[in-house]
Amino acid sequence: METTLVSTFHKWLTSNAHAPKLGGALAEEASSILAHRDFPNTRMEEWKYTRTQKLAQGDWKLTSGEINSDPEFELHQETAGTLGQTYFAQVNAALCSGSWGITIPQNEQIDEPFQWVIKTHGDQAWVQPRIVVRANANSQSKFVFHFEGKDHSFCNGVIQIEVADNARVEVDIIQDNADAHFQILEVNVEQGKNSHCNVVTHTLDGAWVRNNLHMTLNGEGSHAGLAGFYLPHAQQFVDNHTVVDHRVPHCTSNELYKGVMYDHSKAVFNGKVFVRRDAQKTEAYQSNKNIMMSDHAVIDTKPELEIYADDVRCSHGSTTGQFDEEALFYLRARGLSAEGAKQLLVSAYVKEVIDRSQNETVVNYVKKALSQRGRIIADEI
Amino acid sequence: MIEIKNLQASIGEKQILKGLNLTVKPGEVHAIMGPNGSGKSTLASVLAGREDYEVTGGEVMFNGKNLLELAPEERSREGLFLAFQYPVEIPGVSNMNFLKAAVGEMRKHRGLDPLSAKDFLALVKERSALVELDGQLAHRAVNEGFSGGEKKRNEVFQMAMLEPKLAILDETDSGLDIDALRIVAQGVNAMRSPERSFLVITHYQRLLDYIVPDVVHVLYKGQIVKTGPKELALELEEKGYDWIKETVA
Ligand SMILES: Nc1ncnc2c1ncn2[C@@H]1O[C@H](COP(=O)(O)OP(=O)(O)O)[C@@H](O)[C@H]1O
Ligand SMILES: [Mg+2]
Repeated sequence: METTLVSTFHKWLTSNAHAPKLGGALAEEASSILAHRDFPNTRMEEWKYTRTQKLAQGDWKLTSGEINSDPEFELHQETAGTLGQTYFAQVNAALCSGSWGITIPQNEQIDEPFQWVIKTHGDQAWVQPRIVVRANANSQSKFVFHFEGKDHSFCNGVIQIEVADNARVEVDIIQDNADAHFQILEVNVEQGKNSHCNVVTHTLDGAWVRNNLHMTLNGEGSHAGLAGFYLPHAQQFVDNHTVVDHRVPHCTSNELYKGVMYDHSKAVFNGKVFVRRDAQKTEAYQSNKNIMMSDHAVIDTKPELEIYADDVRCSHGSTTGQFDEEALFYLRARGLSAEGAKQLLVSAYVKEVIDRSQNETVVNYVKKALSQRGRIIADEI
Repeated sequence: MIEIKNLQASIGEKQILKGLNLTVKPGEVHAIMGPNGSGKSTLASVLAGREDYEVTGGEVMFNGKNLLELAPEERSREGLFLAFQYPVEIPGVSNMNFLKAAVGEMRKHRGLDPLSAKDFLALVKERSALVELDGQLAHRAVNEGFSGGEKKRNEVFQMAMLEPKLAILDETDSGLDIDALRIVAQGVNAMRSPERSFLVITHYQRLLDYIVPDVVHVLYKGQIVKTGPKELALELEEKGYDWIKETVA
């Protein structure tokens, strides 16, 4: 068992020996580390509730996928970014199928969002995109990463964002995948002084999703925003692991994840907030809320707060509740169908998260997609 | 309008309605009075279709239809309206959007075209004025942060928007001061018509000074134990519910 898990990376490496990849020093370093790392499994704390067998069994064939950026950017190998900590970030470094680097110049304020549509299509297709953003001091920019996975395929993406002093970055991640697609996404944000970064993850659909969002506040006066929603149905699985690392004083973070669990779906939320010893005057809020639309759905939620400073304001909490039957009856008693009333209530529920996006185009897209799938009523929110 | 025969209902093991008979004709206003816990809200809930209650016997005909077979939304679209004793707060759902959906369903069921946005707004303006409901409230989330009186006025406002055939008002007077009571009653009276009936559930007689009933029933331990003209309400007020308890016992 152990050996099969260790050899998973070798299997993937060997069967993709001739695939085009970026290579370079980063790839070599990643490969040599991975030779000694176990494939993630439920005996590991970070993967306790997340089954990886089906992913490990996949005979994935590396391809560059179809990645459209708007406006278009050049491939920059020198902007390959850093190795990262997690197993899959390193797999991405070792076998990267395409890397984009973009730098927002100092003092530049760009209203039009930069947009990537990352498509992974075709059975066995395996896409490992890597996007490295550097927002220089005092700049303002918006980014959209729109993932579209089809068929029985696998996308293992890495996004690294550096937000320099006084810079503002807004990020929207859309995960709109098919029912046999696997997605792993690692998003790493490093923030400087008085910077602001807000990341909203819209998980619309997909068989299996694991997100690692790691935001580090390295400069005083900075703010990190994290928000996300998931509405899995059928047998879908969505896992959000987040880390907010307050390393310096006078920073704030605000995190809100909401789930609506249908059918036999399963979701995991694990949110860690670290407040380091020096990080006095930190304000950190974290909340994960879930409503269960079915008796068969499962949620494993674990908010964690580790505080080593004494003068801080922090709160965290998670709630998991049944659907509000009183509200449902009230709406039905006024003539709304049971289905329509549920959609209305779910609309109100996820609105709070969708509204955290600062990108109107994304908000409209997400609302439309969810209402077309009968989850919400677009006009209501 | 509605004909209730030998209605029996229970919640869990507990039987609450124990063979209730009541007939309301079009245009009539019937008051149902009774001490706390006698089953008034249970009757209202069973008629509106709340699923917590199990109907164990009897039948209810509503304009020729078997009411108990219909889902709550079908009852509403057929013209039954319940003003809740405890209106539910629904954060995030705007009153306006909710009403638009509700009015839309009702009109569709009656074979009417949807109202234009302009006509809908005009109707909101007209009907909210009946209960002197601040126009701003219509744009807030359903009942969220409303005062007790505002919630009750919002119920009557929704009733006026949906133009039901039978409106059941469950203690719409409770918790209201005399001014609010007068406003609520004025809204109800404005909606009285020869085709529309009302079932006014109340613990106190004072509401009936403003909404004058044609018939007064006394509900006690799950049965109608006394029926009379509007003067019965005054008699009850004077003698108290102990008088009924003694009469029945
Ligand atoms: N959800 C419930 N669970 C258990 N008992 C209930 C429930 N609702 C009502 N009852 C009981 O049913 C009886 C009638 O209640 P209700 O219809 O609310 O009376 P009223 O409206 O006349 O005050 C009371 O004894 C009450 O305790
Ligand atoms: Mg009651």
